[in-house]
Amino acid sequence: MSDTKPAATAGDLGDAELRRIYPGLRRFAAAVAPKEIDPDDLMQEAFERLLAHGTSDVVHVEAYVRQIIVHAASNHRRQLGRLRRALGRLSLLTSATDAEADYPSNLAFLEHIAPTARAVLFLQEVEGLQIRAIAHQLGMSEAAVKQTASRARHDLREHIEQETSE
Amino acid sequence: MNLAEALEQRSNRGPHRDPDTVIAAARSTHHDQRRAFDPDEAGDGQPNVISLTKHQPDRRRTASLAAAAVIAAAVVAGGTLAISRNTATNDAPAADIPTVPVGCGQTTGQSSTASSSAASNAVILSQTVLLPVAVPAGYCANTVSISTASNAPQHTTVWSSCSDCVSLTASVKLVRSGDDPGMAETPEREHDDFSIDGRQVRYYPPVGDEPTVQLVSRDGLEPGFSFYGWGVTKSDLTELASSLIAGNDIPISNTLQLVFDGQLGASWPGAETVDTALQIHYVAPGGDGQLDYSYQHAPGIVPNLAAFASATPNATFTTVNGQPALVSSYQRATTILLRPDDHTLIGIGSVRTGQSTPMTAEELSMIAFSEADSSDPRWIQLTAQTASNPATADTVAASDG
Repeated sequence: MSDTKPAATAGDLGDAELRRIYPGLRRFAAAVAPKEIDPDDLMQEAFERLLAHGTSDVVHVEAYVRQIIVHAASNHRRQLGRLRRALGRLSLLTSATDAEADYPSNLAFLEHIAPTARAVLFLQEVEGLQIRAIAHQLGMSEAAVKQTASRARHDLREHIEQETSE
Repeated sequence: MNLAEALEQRSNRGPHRDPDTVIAAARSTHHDQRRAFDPDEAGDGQPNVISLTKHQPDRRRTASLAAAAVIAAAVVAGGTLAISRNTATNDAPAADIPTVPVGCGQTTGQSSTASSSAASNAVILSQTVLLPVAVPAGYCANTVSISTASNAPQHTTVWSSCSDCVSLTASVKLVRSGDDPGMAETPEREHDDFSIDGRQVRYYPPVGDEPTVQLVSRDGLEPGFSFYGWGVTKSDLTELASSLIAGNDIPISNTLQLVFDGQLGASWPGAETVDTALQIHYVAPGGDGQLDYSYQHAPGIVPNLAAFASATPNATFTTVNGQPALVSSYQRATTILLRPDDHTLIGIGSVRTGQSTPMTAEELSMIAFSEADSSDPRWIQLTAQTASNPATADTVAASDG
């Protein structure tokens, strides 16, 4: 006879639990999201999706929410890209500099890599996770994590060098 | 600054909202989404009443609301509304949505026979489900039924005055006793109870950096009407509560602006912290002595366009695709485009503009029209032709996000 309790659903997730995981995930969301997206809005979106999905098949809620955040941030980035292209066609955005004017220049370079790459680098550089742990958190293979991190660093280096040379 | 420091700094960017507010908003939306597919959750034969949305506007919701608003406005105006997908997708256009007049004082449920086949291709409003509610005496209602891709019926309830039949609202929320999803899980907080004309009113002081919040109950301390606003004072909202309790209209000339959080909210022009999308309201006197009310989120639902135009701050005139237009925006911008001559709605755009730098009217208006031109199949074009001005074809863009 099984003595296992029914799996928790999202509805069972108490506010206390959500509140506990909020600060860390909020920082993650702020790092990953495009600058135009309010991190708290992204958090709300992620929680909505979590609640809608339920947690019956979710082993690690925090990791699951991180993955939602990365996916949502990627979607927002695509939408914003379309918007920028439209503005560019209309000559309302004269240069990349204009788009970044409201963001500190020493952070602007992070905009040049994708949300997934920012997620990987954040977990690696700020939270100090190992490759295996990052792969678990983001639902990626270890190889993909390594490749993403490597490419992101390369892209950032290239971008900074290009800026310096100019 | 090295990479770790840059990421660290980025991860602390603000502004910060109270986590409890975010969690409550997420739960509230989740609750409504579930209820949307169970129209009679209580099993009492009465439809649930679902508010438009539960949180500050984001692009998706604002756009959906805008779409609902335009549909409502067009139908109430006695016209027809053709909905078709963006032509770039080559989808067949959907049929017209008929207007379904309902007698004054009746409920929309009694006559909600709008064609279910209409706009079957429409993919808008997936997040915005409005179920019919009772119409107060002295008001008519028109209902538009739209089927989504998932074939779940959705209704936009529109109230219109019997006398002049102008569009008033696209959303109604009447809260049953103890049945306010937004309040059900709200923890007990410090508050101040008092009464206005025998009605219990509860005032909640601001929390953290959140705007002033007041919640007003209509029977004892059960959740009832909820107001909140940015930068408003206790006396401001007490005045509003008093007016509502008395069943008075709040004239548009007050330019009272209502935030939509699934709850009636109020913010006054001039409040420094107002950062919502355009809002406008109309409060209807309750025909049955209850505090029936309607409210609306401004983009597209304009009960009196001329009054709106004159009362709207930050309005500027510009040209969009050769058409003169009135554009107005706030910091977290939604734009609404009105022709300056007759104030006909010609477009709606919605975009988040970042933390503090408002976009210019021209930028917003261009975005509105560039969105309409998008080849993204999720964008659709709505073309409304009103009976009062058949020559006017109004085009707006909306997205289901």
